[in-house]
Amino acid sequence: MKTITIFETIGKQNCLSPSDGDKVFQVIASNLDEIKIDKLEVSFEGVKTLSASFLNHAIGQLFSKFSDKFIRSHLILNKYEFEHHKQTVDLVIENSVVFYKKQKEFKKFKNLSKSV
Amino acid sequence: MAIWAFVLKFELKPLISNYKRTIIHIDISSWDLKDKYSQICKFYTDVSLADHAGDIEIIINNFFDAHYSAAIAAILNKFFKYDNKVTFKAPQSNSILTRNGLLSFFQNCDECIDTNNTAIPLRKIKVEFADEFIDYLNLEYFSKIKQPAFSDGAMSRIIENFHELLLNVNDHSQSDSLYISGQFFPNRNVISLLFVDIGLGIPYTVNSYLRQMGENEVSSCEAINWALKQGNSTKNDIARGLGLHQVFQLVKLNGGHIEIISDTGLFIYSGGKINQVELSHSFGGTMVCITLKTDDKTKYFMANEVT
Repeated sequence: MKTITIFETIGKQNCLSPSDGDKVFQVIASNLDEIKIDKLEVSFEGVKTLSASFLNHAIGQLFSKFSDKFIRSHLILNKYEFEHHKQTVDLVIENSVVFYKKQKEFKKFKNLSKSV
Repeated sequence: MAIWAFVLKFELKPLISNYKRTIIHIDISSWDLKDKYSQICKFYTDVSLADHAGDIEIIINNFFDAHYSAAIAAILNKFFKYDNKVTFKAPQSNSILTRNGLLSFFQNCDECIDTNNTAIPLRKIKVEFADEFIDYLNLEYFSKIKQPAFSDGAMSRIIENFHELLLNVNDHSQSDSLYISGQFFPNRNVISLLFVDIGLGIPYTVNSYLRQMGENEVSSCEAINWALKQGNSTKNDIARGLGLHQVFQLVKLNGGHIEIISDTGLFIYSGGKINQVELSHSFGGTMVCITLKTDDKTKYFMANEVT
């Protein structure tokens, strides 16, 4: 199992901006691409502030690239400084699953409309 | 010689035939929030119609709650970007507007030290500068709040909510900067913070999104309501829509109030009640005013910190 520490990846305690989230997304996505069957641990140790915008980019975006099932079986998110950070992560994941599912359905509908 | 040079410098502009100077009055001393925000929207219209090649003088009548400075600065900055001279006459609010930096924002004068420690200075912050924003909140805003008290976890959550709001407002406006100002009112036991952007506004962005999704357009007030619901977002590329909802929850817990103004929509949450009004003048952007009660002796923890 490989571990990625968010604090070390972006070098900040305040994980707020979407651009920092994109950096974390790139690191996680490339690791998930590589490992395929192994586990990837993402540690939130040392993170003092964590915004939903950051998480939407860092974690939420993963659901556009990988399936819900694949992410849940390969990604371990842990070592939160505050319990509410875990809740925000859960909320972002819940939102992202619905959002990307809707987006895929909308694309299907658009393609269907075009072919009709 | 020096005297003549002085006279020439200051008398030159009126001698030019096409030189124009606009005088605009603003009075937001009303206690009625609808009147207050209507006046700010009217000010937006007046400034937009002024001759932007000339100078402008703003006359602030009666008392002016200093946290609205961000709105004044944002509006003037939108329409008067170049070498125009912007001056203020604010006989009853000159002191506070000097201390909070509104006057020095446009006029060549220094920002004074606020010995009362009640002014939360006017700042224009680029949205990508999250660290500058956090420093501003800690130094200028949270340092003034002695109560209610917050645990480390709760404080972390509040900062996160405010930052989310900053980003969300930016998403709706598609502008790159946010104007912020605030004021602590010890006599009223409240502290107010105003976020302003001058951009597309919530109704425009929400209705563009709804049209794209094949749904009916909504009024300005309904668009603000839509943006407040958890999970609703106009962003197509990424899942959003937690920020405004979470800020609203925080205000409800504290018993404070929140006002959101965008285009002609005014949303007010106060005293546990929601009031929505369509204004007669529109505001080309979004204002979010958050007022927290400071006579609340509770110490707030996150629920999971207590168990």
